[in-house]
Amino acid sequence: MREIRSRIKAVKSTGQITRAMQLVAASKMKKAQMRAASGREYTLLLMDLIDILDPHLTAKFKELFGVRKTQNRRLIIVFSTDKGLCGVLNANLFKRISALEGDCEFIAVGAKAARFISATGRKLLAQFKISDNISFSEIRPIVELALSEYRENRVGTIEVLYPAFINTIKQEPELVKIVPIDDLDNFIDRMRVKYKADLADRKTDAREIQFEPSLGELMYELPLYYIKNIVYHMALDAKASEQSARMVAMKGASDNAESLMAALTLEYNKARQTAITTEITEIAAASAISQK
Amino acid sequence: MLYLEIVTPEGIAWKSSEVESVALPTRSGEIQILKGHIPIVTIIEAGEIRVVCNGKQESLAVDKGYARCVSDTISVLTEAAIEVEDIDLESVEKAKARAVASLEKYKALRESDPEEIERLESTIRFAIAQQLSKNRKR
Repeated sequence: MREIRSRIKAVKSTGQITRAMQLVAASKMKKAQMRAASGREYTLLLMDLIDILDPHLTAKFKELFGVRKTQNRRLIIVFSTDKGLCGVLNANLFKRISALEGDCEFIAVGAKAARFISATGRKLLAQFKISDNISFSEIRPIVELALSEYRENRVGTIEVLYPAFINTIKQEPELVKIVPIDDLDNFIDRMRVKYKADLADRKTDAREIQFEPSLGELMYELPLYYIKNIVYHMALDAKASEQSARMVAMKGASDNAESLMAALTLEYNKARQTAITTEITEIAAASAISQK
Repeated sequence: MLYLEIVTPEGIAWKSSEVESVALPTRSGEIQILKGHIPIVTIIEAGEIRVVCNGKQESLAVDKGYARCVSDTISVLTEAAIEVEDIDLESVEKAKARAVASLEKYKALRESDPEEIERLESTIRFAIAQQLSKNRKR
């Protein structure tokens, strides 16, 4: 009986902790989801700008981020979490990593991915840590490092693996190639579909577009900014996924603790009843004997 | 009527479909956009966007970015934007002072992160844009 009592106590305190974590994750989740959603307009507009400049940009993109000979050497940026207790989120990412083919190097964002990659003997180039309230400047060094590897011809592609946010209970690992940019139209179209852009609403103008102050100046910063912005959005998405997955996992744990508590209490009461019955029988038997 | 939207990473900062004219602070000087303007893509500098909307003039302070005008739809892509009415000069002054101070400190360090410097400079730039637009209004 004492054993059951101590188990009830343990389950109760665990339940309290998971409940608290669920509430924390729920509030963080709301914020992260909102941030991920509110930045979409910006990215879409950036895509539109790129689209307009596309005929002129293609050559520039090719020069900066074209297909290289080292194409089968891949650099993969993995967005994982720092802490556990978020269900199968990281496990799903690791499954994708295991299934990768070719000569892969990794940049890990978050401690979990770093541990997995180094533990399985894969090549870990760098490890970054990003905060929950992620800002654009935290992404820059990651992208800069990846691009410098690419420019110096050590890798041929830059890809990002992150848990894409679909809804609160569903997140799926997604592998997106960001460099080389060899099929920009296709890429932009895919992003538009993903962000649910309203294409019917798009304005067109048959007249020739003027560029001010000049095309060269417009294009000077745009390509790099574009890549950073895309990665930034993936990071926002990954954060929203993490908090959602943790919220759901913790909710499951709290519910489990509750049902376990109910079962244990029932068991405890039964044991107590049995003990009392035995005691009464014993007393009754004893008194019956003494009265004889 | 023109449609104007100002989009920042935090969402759409301002939009209206009842705009009569827009003045944008571009790199090569201020340009005025009225209905039927030729399509244009331009770089905008930190400064003030003046909008005439329902006969009233409104102004918005923006950071540097890009603007696109296609078939009477003007989209401004910028890092930050705020309505001049909402600018609190005191807090802007404080934010600017903070950014200047940390910028000085940062530049003194040998190992300074160019991205961080850029971020601080953008804070200062935007603060100045806000102050200028607010002062002009008064």
